[in-house]
Parts: sequence; structure tokens; C-alpha cells
Amino acid sequence: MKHTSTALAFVGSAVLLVGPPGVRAQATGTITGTVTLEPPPPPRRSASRYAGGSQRIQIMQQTQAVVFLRGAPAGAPPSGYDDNPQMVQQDSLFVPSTIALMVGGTVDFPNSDPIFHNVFSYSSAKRFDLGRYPQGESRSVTFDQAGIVEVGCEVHDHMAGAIVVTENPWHAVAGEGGTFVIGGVPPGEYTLVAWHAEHDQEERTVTVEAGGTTRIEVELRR
Amino acid sequence: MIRVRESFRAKLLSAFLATVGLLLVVTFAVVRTVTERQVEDVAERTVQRAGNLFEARNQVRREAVTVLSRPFTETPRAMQRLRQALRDNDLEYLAGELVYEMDLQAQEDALVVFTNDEGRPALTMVAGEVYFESDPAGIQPMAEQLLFGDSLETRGYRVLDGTMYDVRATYLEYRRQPVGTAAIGFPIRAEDIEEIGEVGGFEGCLAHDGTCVVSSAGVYPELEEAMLASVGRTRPLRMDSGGMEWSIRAEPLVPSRPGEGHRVVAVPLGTVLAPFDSILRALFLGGALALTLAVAFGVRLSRSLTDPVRVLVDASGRVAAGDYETEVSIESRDELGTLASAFNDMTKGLLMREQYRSVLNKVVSQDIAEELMRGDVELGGETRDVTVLFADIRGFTSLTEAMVPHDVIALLNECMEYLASAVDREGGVVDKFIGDEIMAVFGAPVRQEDHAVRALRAALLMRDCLVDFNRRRTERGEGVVGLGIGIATGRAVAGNMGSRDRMNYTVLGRTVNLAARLTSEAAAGEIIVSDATREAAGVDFVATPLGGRELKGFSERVEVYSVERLATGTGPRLVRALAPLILATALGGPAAAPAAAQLPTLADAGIGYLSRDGSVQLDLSGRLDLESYVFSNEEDGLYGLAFGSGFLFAPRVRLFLDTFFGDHVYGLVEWRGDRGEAPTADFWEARVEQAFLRVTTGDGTVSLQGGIFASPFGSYTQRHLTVTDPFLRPPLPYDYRTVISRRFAPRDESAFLRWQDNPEEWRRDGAPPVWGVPYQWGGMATVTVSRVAVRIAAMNTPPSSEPLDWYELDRVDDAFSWIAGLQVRVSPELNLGASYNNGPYVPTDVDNAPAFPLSGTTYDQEIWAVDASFARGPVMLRAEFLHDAWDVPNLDERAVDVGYTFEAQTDVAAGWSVAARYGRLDFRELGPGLRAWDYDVDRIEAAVAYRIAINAGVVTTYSTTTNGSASEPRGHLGGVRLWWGF
Repeated sequence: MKHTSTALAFVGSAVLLVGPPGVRAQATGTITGTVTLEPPPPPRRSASRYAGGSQRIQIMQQTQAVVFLRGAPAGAPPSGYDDNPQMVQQDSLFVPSTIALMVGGTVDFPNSDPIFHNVFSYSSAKRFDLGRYPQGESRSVTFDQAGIVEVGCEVHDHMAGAIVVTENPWHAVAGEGGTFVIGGVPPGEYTLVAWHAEHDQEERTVTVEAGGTTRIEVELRR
Repeated sequence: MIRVRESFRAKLLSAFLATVGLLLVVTFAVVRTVTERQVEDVAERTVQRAGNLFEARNQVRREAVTVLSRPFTETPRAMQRLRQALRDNDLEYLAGELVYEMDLQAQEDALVVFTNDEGRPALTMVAGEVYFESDPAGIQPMAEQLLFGDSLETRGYRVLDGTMYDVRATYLEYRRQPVGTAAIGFPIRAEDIEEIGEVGGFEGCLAHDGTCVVSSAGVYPELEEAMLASVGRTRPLRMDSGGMEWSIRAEPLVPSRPGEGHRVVAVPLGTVLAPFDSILRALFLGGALALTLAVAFGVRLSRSLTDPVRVLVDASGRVAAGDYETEVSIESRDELGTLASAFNDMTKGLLMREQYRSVLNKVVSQDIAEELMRGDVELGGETRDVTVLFADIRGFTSLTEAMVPHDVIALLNECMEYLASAVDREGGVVDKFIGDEIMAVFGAPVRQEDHAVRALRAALLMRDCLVDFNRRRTERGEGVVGLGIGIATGRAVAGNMGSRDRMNYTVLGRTVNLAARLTSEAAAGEIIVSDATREAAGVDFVATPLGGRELKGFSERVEVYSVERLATGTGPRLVRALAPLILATALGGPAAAPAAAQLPTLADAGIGYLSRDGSVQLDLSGRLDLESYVFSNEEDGLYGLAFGSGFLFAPRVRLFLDTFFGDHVYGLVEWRGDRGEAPTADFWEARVEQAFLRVTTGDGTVSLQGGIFASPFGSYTQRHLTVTDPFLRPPLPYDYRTVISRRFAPRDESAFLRWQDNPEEWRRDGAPPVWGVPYQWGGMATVTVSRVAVRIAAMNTPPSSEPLDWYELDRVDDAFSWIAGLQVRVSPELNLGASYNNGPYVPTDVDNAPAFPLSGTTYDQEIWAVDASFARGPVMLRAEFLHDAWDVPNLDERAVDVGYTFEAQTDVAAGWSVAARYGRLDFRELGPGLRAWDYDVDRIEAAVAYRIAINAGVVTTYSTTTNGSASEPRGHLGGVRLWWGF
């Protein structure tokens, strides 16, 4: 299975489409909106001694913003919920760069590059180091604790990935322009959390009505 | 006479010495300047090298810790890990990993600090300690500089718990965003400084906040103090410590932040100065040699001039005294030779003239002869007022009847000599001798207004002289003679009378006849004068009128008087008292003996006291010694006294007050000014060196002495230098006990000063002691019978034998040694002695031997010694043997050492003497515990001495010493002394 960066929007819309499967369509609402990111300041300087293998690629891979609800009932994931997504190491990038996943989900990290990669994280939610492995091989990590897991590659410091592990399945990775849609949310009042790796996290209170759509605009500051 | 000679020699010597001296001074100044420049240069270069070595070594260590830091600062993983840890404020895990890594890299002593992106230290690990969120190492300023400045890396020095760290701080970022900083440092250890110090040849220290945080092992407290003092100074600090010279310079470790510490480098100048010291030493030795040669050469040169001059002066003196047969023989062909032959020509001329005069003198009176020679006397004849005196020896015929003719003439001549000298004394002229009669004229040929008085005085003098003459004859058991004197005054014809070939100056006329007649009238011992004489003489004489006399050949009666004495009462007695003296002077005084060359003395200047009755006498004398030593063993100095320099100038001046009370009490006080008993470079001291009182029995058999004086151990003692000792005796440990070398001048055969000895003589000859342990106090009794002297003494205990101790340790006043001695004068040439000493000694403190409880603690010692000296003509031989057993602190067994010495000495030329000496000290019976004391010493010594005058001279000496251990004394030593006893 091959993903491209253009496919990210598709994935997001797929969630949107898949979200209200119809059986309980009447009983749920939708949260939609955009997450705007304050642009990063120009890098102060370049510490060239971190050269490593990244000398060739000057652009730092950016992760995407993620929104998720806190305080919503866990409930069973909606049907079609992918609890075993992949984060492929492809062209020395993590594809996709950002994954939101309910607790208990497993992420596969296949290496499709002709070079070795090494996936690791020091995040407290999940500390792991998959070691180096070649093309065609894949290793998996199961995330059993909610939290933010930032993923890096030992040799390529421009590669960055993020896995947001949530307590419930109501979450979305912001797509093109920061838009997001969380569908099939049971009505109620929740805390919506907007997260981005390099910005301060923001929280909003949202009220979801059955059949209704709640719009939220969030701007994340550094 | 002597003064002229001395003065010329002095001038010549001054010229020589000034030239050589100036040359030496200039050379010295040049060498000194060059040395200073060289020292600065070397110090500068060494300091630079020190900086480079320090940097190079730190670079190596820095690279080692960089290896350690890499896993924590140079990978994305590390950055992420750190960022996460900082975010979560959870650094325990990171600390764990760090410890693991530090162990792995064997960098446990490193300093590691991580700060957050605001510069606040979050984790500090140092010396096995972990600190969270505190900044014990003061890293925050460095971190802030990196985070808010432009640099990626900075370096500095931090002191923590007495350890200095070389710290490098690095800016850390992750994905182009600042994470924080990491500071990694390594401790700078003493070994680091020592190693580069050894390579670079210096001592170093890192100074921070007024202390030396790290320093090389060679840095001792005094040097450290100086090194700290150099911090902040722009110019290098020069320091002289422990016999070493140092040039010290401090530079900030980080020029822009001097507060972080200084690198202080002390450059020892010994090696730099060594060649120059050698030059200076050579200069000194060469200078001493040149000076000695200049003195010797000058003396010789001056002699070559002054000796002929003295011969000429002596000859002139003889000529002046009337010896015209004097002839000088001077071989040289120079100006002096010419002068000598001119002198000889002159004496020949004088001799001829004198021969004429002597003939004349015998024929006529001396005055007349002189006037004749001068040509002042008119020989034609003239009428003069004169007084004529006839003296006739009475009883001569009967006295001489039984005598052989030769004795008769001898008696007559002796008698006439007396009478004629009385005439001479009063300015009269002996006109002629007529048998046993003498005729004298006063007033001619030289005019004399008071001729009558003169004649009377001469007559009285004759009478007194005859009394003395008769007294002496009586003493010899011979018969006496009488004298009748007649004097007449009046006109007489005076002139040269006789044939052309033989003329005679004489007076003729009635007056002469009258005088002759009056003499016939005079009884023995009587002086008969004419009326005219009495009248002319006036009232100066007591005369008895004898009335008119009928005289043969005179038609009228003549009034005559008998003269008794001079009118003034004391006159005759005074004249009588002075008569022998006058006669002795008239008959020719004693020839003046030439004085020997001698420099001035206090006695010459009249300093001293002698009471009216001669019972109290005070003599003040002194001696000046200008003494210098050069030696090869700079490290130990001159046996512990002058470290590092290789040179010691030790002048001293001494004053001696000898006091005599009556015939049995003698006292001596010696003051001494020098560089201390143990001479040190920058020290002067004046003190009473010895002071004692001695009571001696009338015949000198027994004497008792008490006070401060040198131990009487040995017939001779090293400490007591005399002028006959040709050696210089530097202050050598172990030598202090040796007994050879006379204590007093050779005049004192008993080797102990007795009442009969002449202190002034031996003072000037330099008897008093020079070096030695500080003098002890105690008492001594001496018994001298015939050729044997026995003595017994009790003396308190001096500080140890090491000169260095003499100012550190105290005399032990309540511990006494018993000393006994025997000396036998086998013959005037051979002297034998035996000595015994039993008592405490103070061990040395020089090495600060920890096992020795010092100051006041004594251990027992027992010494036996025998010695012999033999002198015949100019040769003197001496030998001694010494056996010493001593307790060793903390050990049961006694150590034993045996010392022996041989000396030979001889005069080689006028004023010159040479000597050689071999001495050995052999440590015996040293068990395992005593090996440390096995300091066998061998010394060979040679000396040359020259006497400039009776009381001044030069002594030079050379010695070489080998030692069984690495300890001193050892090495070569040269010395020179100029001395003057005054």
C-alpha cells in the first residue's frame, strides 16, 4: 500500500465520509473547523555539526496538527476505524507524518527506502526504539497509553513523525489548510484539544448536538 | 727610611691592585648585565612555552571529553531525548544514561551540565554527585551567552570543591530550535602541571581567588606565596628562596575574564645562572690568582727597586755615621747601578777628605781642624783674650810604676779622653797633651765671650768625671788618680806656629805660663784660678780667695782663688747625674737598628693602659680577615651556609682586650663582628665571642680559668687559627671536633696560654679562633710541670655540629662535658698530646629528622684523640687520630667513627709557605639501623700563604672532598684570605 502526501487530504475526507455510517446517524453530531498555525520564526542559525545524513535535505519534515476530544465516553470505535495504521519511512520521510490513534492501537513502521532507518521516541507516553532495519522490513508498536508520541529517526534529524494517542476515537488530523472534521460524536459537552508539535496546545469547550455540526476555529501560537 | 720603602711598595701594589680590581669590576658588571638580559629572555621563553604546553595538553584532554559528550549533544536522538527530559522535567533517566556513558568512556571525573533553553542548569554531574536545578559550577552565564548570543561554543574555567575544570559549553538545538546547552569539563590535575613543568622546566600553579588550586609538586609554601603575589602584576616577579632564584609570571587563563583564574609559571633561574655563576667563579678564582700574582709581582718589583735603595740608604747611613769606606755593590745595569757607582765615587771623595780631617784632628783640635779645613782661620797670628786651662793628673807616676807600658798608655788615654770630652763639651779646644797634663784654650780660635765661665765649667766637669772614673777604678780594684787644675785669663798670642811643613795652632804668652804655674800650685782635686779669671767669670762660682802667691817667672804676687762649685745649688748635682750619659753620648751613641716591616697596630697608636706601678695593664689589639670561598657544591651551599650561589664572602673583624691584674690574674674579652657564627649571605652580627678570667700561681704551675672559651679538647684545635696555620678552615661539619692546628702561637710551647706569654705577640700573629660551634662556658684547671701539661675542664653543650643549627638550636646550659688532656713536650721539636671528651651532644636539626626530639635533647658522646707535631727548621709535620663513639637516638647500639689527619707545612722562600693536608673520617661499626650515618669523608687540601708584613698576609687554599653518601660535605672548594693583625 502506497500513500502519497496528496493522499493525506483524502484520508481525512475518508474519515469524514466514513464517520457517520448511518445506523446511528441521527444520534450524533459533527465537529468541523480549521487549526491555524502561527508561522515558525526563521531558524536562528544552522548548527551544521548535526549534519548526519540530513545534509542533503534541508527541509525539516513538519508534522500536522491534531484535534481530539477529552472527556468523551470511550465507547467502541466506529466501524471501519483503523486501529492498525502504517507510518511508512519513504523518501526519508515519515508518511504520513501524523497519526491519531485510540489507545490500544498499533502502528506499523515499514521501511520502503533503500537505506536503513531507525524509529525511536523518547516521549513519556511511549518510549521505544525499534533499532535499525532495512528496506522491506516493518516493525510495530502498540500504544497503550494516551499521550503525544513524537517519533524520530536516529540518522535523519529532518524526519519527524507524531502519533497522538487518545482515549476515544473522536479525533482528526488537520488536513490541507488546517481543516478537520470529527464526525459521529455523541451529543454532549466536551473539551476539544488542538495540538501541534511546535505550538502551544489549545483547549476549547464544544457542545455537540445530535445531527448538528459544530464549527471551531483554533489558532495555535508558538 | 722604612716609611719611604713601605710607601713605594704600597703605591706599586695599589697600582697593580687597582688595575686588576678595575678589570675585575668591569668584567663582573658586564657579565652581570648579560646574565640579567639572558635571564629575562629565558624566563620569557619558558613562560611562552608553558602556555603552549598547557594549551596542548588541555586540548588532548578536551578531545577525550568530546568523545564523551558526543552521544549527548551530537545526535537527533540525544537532542530529542534532552528536549523531552527538559519538557517533562524528568532528568533522572538522562542522568542514568550519562553515568553509564561516563563509566564507559572512563571519564568519571568529568563535569557535565545541561541547561534548558533559557540557560538555567537542569542537571549538573560532577565528582560522582548529581545536582538538579541548581548551578554549583556557575555555568549559567556561559549558557546565557550561547543562547542569547551568536556563538555556538564557549570555553572557560570553573572551580568546584577545590578542583579546577576546563569547561567547554555548547549550544544545543533540535530541528533548528534551541534545546539548551551542554557544558562538559575535565579537571586539571597536579600531574598535568607537573608533566608539562618537567617538559618545560618550570613550576606551575593555577591560581583562583587567592589560592593555588592546582600546583606542581615542587611548589613549596614560600614559592606558592610568591606565585600568588605575582597575580595581577604586569612585570615578572623575581624571588630568591631556598637558595634558588625564580622568575614568576602570571597570566589570566581567559584574558577577557581574569576572575576565572590565572596560570602562574615560576621559572627556576639556576640553570640559566649556572654558566654565569661558573664564569663568575672563574672570574673570582682568576681574580684572586691575579690579585695574588699582582701582590707577589708587585712585591718583587718593588723589592728590585727598594732593595738597592735600601742598600744605598743603609750605606748613606753608614757614611753619615762616619764610615767612609762603605762601598755599595749593585749588580744591575739600570739607573740604580749608575746611582750606585756615583755613590761609590762620592764616598771615595769623602773618604779622602775624612782622612785629611782625621790626621788634622789628631794633630790639632777638632774645631781648629774644621776651621782650617773651612779655611776660616787666619794663620798669621793675633792677640786674643782667652782663658787657658791646664789639668794635671796627680799620682800618675806612682800609680804606673808597676804597670806595663801598654797599660800605662791605656790608662792615660782613658783619662785624657774623659778630660778632653769635658773640654769639648764646653766648647774649648784641647791645645796639646803634655805627658800627664792637658792644655785647653777657651776663646780661640773661635771667639767666645764667656771663655772664662766655659773654662770653669769644664774644670768642674773634669773633677766630677774623675770622681766617676775613680769610682769605677775602685770597683775594679784599681788605684785612684788625682787632678790638679789651673786656670788663667788674659791676653795671648794665637796663631799657627812651627815650620812650613809642620805647623801648630797654639797660644803663647803670660796667660799660658800663669795657668801652667797655677796648676803646679793646685793640690789634687783643687781648681786654682787667677784673679782675672774669677773676675771674668763673675758671680757664677763659689771661689775661696787664697791670697797672693809668689810664682816662678812672675815678678808680682798673683791673687789666686780656689773654685768650689757653681753658684746655683743644683747645677753640679745635675751635671754629676748626667755625666755618664753625657760621656756616653760624647763617646758615640748606639747604632740604630733598622725596624722590621710592620703594618700599623693599635699599640703603635698608643692605645692601651699601664698603671703607674705597672700592676694593671690593658692591651687592645685586633685582627681583620677578608675571607672568601668559592665551591662547586652549590646545591648544598658551603656545607649548608650559602645555598645556590657557589660563593661566600665572610669578612670578620675582631678586637681583643687583654687585661693583667698583678702577676697572677689575666682576663680576655674578644668582640667579633662577622656574618654570624654560621655566616649567612645577608646577615651581620657583632657579639662577645669569648670572655674569661684566669688565675695563675706565681711560678705558673697551676692555673684556673672560667668563663666563655673554646673547648680545650685537643692539643690543637681546628677552630683556632694561627698565622702558622697555612690553611683556611671553612665551616665544615664533622671538622669541628678535629684537634689539629695550634690553638695559640708557636711561642707558647705548652699550647695553653700562661701568664708568661706575651699576648700582644700572639694576638697579632692571629691566634684566636675563627670558625666553630658557638663557644661554651665552663671552667678549666691546668697544671704544668716541666715538660708535661695536664688539664681538666667542664664545658656546657653547644648546639649541634651543623652550622645551620647554630641559630636554630640552643646551647644546653645544664649538660656538661668532661674534658681531660695531657701534653708532653718530648723535645723542643716534638710534642705529643692525648685528649678525652665525655659528655652530651645535640643532634642536628638540619634534615628535620622526625625521629629526633630536638632542642634541649642531648645524647652521649665519647671521644679519644691523640696528636703529635714535629717541627724542625722550616718544616712542620702534624698528625692526629680521633675515635668517637656516640649514642644514636632511638637505637641501642652506639655508632663509632674514626678520623685521622696528616699535615705538612714548610717555608719555601722569604714570606712564602706551602702546606698540604689529608684527612679522613671513617664511620665504623654501623649496624643496619645506622647505615644512614655512613658518611665517610675524604679530604685533600693544599694551601699557599704569603706574609706581606710581620702582621699581615694572604692565605689561599684549595680542597677537594669526597663523601661516601650523597650528602655534603663534598666537592671542590677554594678560598682566599687577606689578614691584618692590628
